[in-house]
Amino acid sequence: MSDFIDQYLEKIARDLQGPAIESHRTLLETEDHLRLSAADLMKTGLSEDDAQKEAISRFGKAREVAEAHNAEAWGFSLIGTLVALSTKAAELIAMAFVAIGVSAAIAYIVSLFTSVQAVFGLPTTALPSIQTCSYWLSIHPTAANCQQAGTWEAAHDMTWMLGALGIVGLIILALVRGWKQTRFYSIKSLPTTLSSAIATTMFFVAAVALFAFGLSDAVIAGSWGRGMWYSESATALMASIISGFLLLRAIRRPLGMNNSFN
Amino acid sequence: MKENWNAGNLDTLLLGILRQQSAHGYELIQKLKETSEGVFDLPEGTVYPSLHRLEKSGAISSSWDSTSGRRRRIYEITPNGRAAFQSGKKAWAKYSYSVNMVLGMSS
Repeated sequence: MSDFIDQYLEKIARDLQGPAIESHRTLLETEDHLRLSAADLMKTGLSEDDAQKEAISRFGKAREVAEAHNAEAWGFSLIGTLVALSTKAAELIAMAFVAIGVSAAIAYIVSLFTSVQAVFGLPTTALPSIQTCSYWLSIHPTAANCQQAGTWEAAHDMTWMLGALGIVGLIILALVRGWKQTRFYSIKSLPTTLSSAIATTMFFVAAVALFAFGLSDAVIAGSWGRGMWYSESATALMASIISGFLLLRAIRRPLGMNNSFN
Repeated sequence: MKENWNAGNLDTLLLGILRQQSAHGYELIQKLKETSEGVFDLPEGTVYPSLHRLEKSGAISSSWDSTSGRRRRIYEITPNGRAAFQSGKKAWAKYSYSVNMVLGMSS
C-alpha cells in the first residue's frame, strides 16, 4: 500500500535547507503530526489512504512548508546572504539570456514569413564606415549594396550569437539548479516575492526600452533591426507577465507561512 | 478576516496555550482550534516555524519525549515567554478596546 505521508515527507526533504539537525527535526515533527492527525481522522470513519491525504491537505503544500522552514532555519548570515544574492543574480542573468535566445528564435521565424529586411534591416540612417562595408560585402558578395550586406550580416550574427546566448543561459540555469540541490548549498533562500518582484520589474523595463528601440529603429552596440527589437520586447513582456504571475501567487499564500512575533 | 488575524498574533496565542500546559505541536494546534471554537483553523504546517522562532527567541523551550513510542517534541513556556505573553495580551486588550470604541460596542 502506498504511504502518502512518506511521499509527502520526501517532497519536503528535497526542498529543505539549513543545518541538517534543523531539517531532521522538522521532518520528525511533521511525520509525528501527520501520523497523529491521520489516526484521528481514521476514527471519524475515513480509510487510511483518505485520512493520510486529508492530514496532508490540512498541513499545507510541501513546497510552502519547506520554504517556511528555510526562512526560520537560519539567522542572518552575511556570507549566506551574499551567496544567496549571487545565486539569485546568476539565475536572473541566465533567465535574461534565455529570453534573448528565445527572442532571436522568434525573430528568425518571423523573418521566414515576412522578410529579412523587415526584421534585421539596417536603418537607412545608419552610416557604417567604409571598412565595415568592405567587410560585410566580402562576407556577402552577392549583396546588392552595403545596406543589404549589413542586413544579411545582422540576420546571420544575431540569430546565431543570440541563440547561443540562450543556450548559455539554459546551461547556467541547469548549473545553478544542480548547485542548489547539493548539500553544500545550505543557505537561507531569498523570498520568492523578492526575486519575482525583481524579475517582473527587470523584464518590464527591458520590454519598454526594447519597444522604444524598435520604434526609433535604433542601432545600439552593433545591434539593429525593428523586427529584432520588437521580438525582444515581446519576449521580455512575456517574461515579465510570467514573473508577475509568480509574484501574485507568492503574495496570495496564507499569511501564516510568514508570521512574525509582533 | 480569517486569513489576516494571525499575522501578528499567532505567537501570542501559542504562548497562551503553552501557558496552561506543555504540549507537542499537534496537541497545540488542536487546543487552539478547540478553544477558539474552530475559528483559528490554521494551515497546520504554519505553526511549527512559529514554534521554532519562539524557541530561538527564548520564549519557549523544547525537548524530545519518547514515552508515547514515537519521538515527539514537547514545548514548554519559559519565564521570558510568560512576560512576552503578558505584553501581547495587553497589546491585544488595547487594540480590541479601541476597535470596540470605534464600532460603538464598548460596555
